[in-house]
Amino acid sequence: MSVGRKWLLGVGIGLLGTMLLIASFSLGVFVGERGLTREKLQPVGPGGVPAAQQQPAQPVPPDKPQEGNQVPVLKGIVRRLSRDLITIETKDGTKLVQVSSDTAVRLAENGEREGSLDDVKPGVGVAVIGRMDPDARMLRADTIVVFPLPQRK
Amino acid sequence: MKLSSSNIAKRMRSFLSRRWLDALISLVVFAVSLVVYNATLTPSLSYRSPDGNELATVCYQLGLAHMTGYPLYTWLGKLFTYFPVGDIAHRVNLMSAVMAAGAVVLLCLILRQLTGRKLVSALVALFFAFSLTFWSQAVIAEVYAPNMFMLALCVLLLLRWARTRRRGYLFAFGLAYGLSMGTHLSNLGFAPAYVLFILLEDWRILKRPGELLGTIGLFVLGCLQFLWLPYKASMLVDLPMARNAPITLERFYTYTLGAFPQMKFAFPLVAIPGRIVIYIELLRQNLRIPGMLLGIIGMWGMLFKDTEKFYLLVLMYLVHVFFFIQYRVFDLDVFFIPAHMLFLLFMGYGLHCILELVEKLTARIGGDEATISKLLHVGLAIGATFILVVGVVWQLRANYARNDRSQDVAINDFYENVFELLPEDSVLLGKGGVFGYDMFYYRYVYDVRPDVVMPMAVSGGRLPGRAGWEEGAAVFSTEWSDLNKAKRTPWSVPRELIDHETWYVPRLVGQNGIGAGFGQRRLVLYELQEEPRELIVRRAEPEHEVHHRLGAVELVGYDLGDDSVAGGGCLELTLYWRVLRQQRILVGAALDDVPLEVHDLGFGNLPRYVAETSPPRSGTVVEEYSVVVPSSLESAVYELRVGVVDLRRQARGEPEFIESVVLTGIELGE
Repeated sequence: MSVGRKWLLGVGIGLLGTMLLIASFSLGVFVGERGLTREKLQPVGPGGVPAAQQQPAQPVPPDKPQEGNQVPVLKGIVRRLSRDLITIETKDGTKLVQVSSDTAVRLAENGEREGSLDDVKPGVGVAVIGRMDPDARMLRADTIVVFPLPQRK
Repeated sequence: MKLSSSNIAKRMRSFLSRRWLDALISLVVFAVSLVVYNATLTPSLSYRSPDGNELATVCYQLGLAHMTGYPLYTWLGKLFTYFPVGDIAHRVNLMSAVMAAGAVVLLCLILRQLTGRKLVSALVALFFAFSLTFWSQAVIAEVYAPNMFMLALCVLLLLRWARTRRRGYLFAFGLAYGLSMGTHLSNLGFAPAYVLFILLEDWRILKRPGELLGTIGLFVLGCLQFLWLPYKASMLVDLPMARNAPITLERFYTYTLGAFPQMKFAFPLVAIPGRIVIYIELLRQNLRIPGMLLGIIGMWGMLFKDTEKFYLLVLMYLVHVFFFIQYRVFDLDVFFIPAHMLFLLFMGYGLHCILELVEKLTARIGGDEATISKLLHVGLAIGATFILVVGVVWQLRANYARNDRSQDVAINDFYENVFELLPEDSVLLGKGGVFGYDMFYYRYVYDVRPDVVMPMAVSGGRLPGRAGWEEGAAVFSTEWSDLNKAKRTPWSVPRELIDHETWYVPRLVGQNGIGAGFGQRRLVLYELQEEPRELIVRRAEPEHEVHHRLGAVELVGYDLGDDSVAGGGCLELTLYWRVLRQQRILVGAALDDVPLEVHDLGFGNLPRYVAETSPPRSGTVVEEYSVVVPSSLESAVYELRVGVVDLRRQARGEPEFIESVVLTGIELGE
């Protein structure tokens, strides 16, 4: 056996060993973290793209908020309240936001403190952090920050 | 050495018989694959792939597809559009089937060359043909099946060159490799493996510049197809694509090698183990655990027996897996098809190694007894064939239902009704860019209803506008242009085109993506109106009273326009609901077990309607719409069923009524 061939075999054995090692390590990490489950292992298999996950096969515009970002998706003035809906006037027009008992309210006046949905009144300024419910086609508020409006003179 | 005439005749007969057998096996493999693919082929447009409808249209137009352009795919697709079956989309779908079947044959030939076993190669290739992901791409308009054909062709030509050292194979490889960039640019990643293999096989090629330059020259010739990009850039409809239209060198780079930067290497190092496990799971779904074990054995065996080929295949495999485990896309499974194919080659080789080992053992057991040895040998061949046939049938049965798209007529049925329903000179809005081709297809390919204005169907980077839009024209949309969405996508209807106080009144509902369940894009035609329809009435007077409680709602009654309908026609339905519990409610309709549609109660209008009109608290919700009956249904009498859909199962794309009620019988005619 030539030296070159020995090298090729040696590197090949190393390559295969490394592959098996990485695969075993990854499986070990996965099982250690989540247990023996297949949940979340299938991004989307053949048979369908969930509408909510349908993303474009295109470049994401730079201003598109990325997953996990806690940036307000809506800012404006509260105009109307009705049960679990708030009508907010924004610079892009009137928007509806759905609230629930899980919605956190923070008051951003003289520092930040916790508030309640009672603090969300017509006329106050709000920034809403939440997520779109694609089926209800409405923003569901996780957090509402109530802030004072600049006084007009 | 002199050859007698009888010897020549004998050799010729043997040669012919071998060639004939190879050809026959290839033909059978091709036919079996194609028959199955054709039986499960999507009849026309579909939402299975986000780009499929665009690709079908672009092939017909000889236009420019989204990044990275896919010139070869477009040209091949154009050839298939001349094939006289079905509509244009069907013909482009058929291209995937034919190319996929061709790829399976090439795979069979590669395995034949690697193992020398005809039948085993054919059965292993068929095992791959009916694997979950590859099959899913063979029945829709997408680039992956043609790309697999090109990839398999490249590998086969290179192996043929390695065996024969005929430079014609190397030249052909160079050209095929260059051309394969036009079916998927990720093929470029295989270059290091190809170069290493050529050098390992014959490093003296470096001393033969003619051969080397010829191969490289033909590769470049194949790549020249990308001149198509600047030539056709003005035909781009998609706004982000048009902004990067490949008309300068910088944009040309962005459109090709620099495409989708946010998707590449998108995961931090700590996420990589999880990504590898996702890949292993996808491999398991396609080749099963026995296949994975055989693949590992095959890698080991090939390293010692065919070292150069091992390096070719393992490097191709590793580069591909390394790149795509770090690729952030929702349809990740399809990107691993080449890796699955390469692993399958190892799987076939692993089987060959085991058979070889067992053959040696049986020969030893048989000893000098030729008859026993032969019997054992035959028994082994029959056993191996049986196991492989079982494997192929297993794949076929396990994956048939998930890949059967033959009933997916939702888009065509919906748009046929849409174009029938739209008044003269009306305006039809919808999703733009790549995702709008379900609508644009009818305009670009068949020029359906030229009087209807489609503002989103503009090319060359122009913004959709009001050109041709008459004052007071009736406006319809297939897309709910979200009033509450802070950031709109480049594919949304521009704000300038719609009044933000407008109401989206549902007129027509199409079948919601059969095969994948309700989870696909919804097909709803809304009429844009200044005032809402009366959505909640104090007192409902349905034609047929039902008063059936379905979870959080009660179906008070219904009106039905006609109880007989032709396939592809519409049922005019009015449903009267009483809300018993405040929560999100999904309701749907079905004919027997065939789902027709599912929607949020009130079609998304309910919260705003309640907020703005203060309707009676105990009023009845009235939904009035037409629902499309799939043309794929056979003529018979069906039960019209209405029910409430399980939210969680719906989210998983497995719609199921929690509770439902049969309203009446519907006679479906021709």
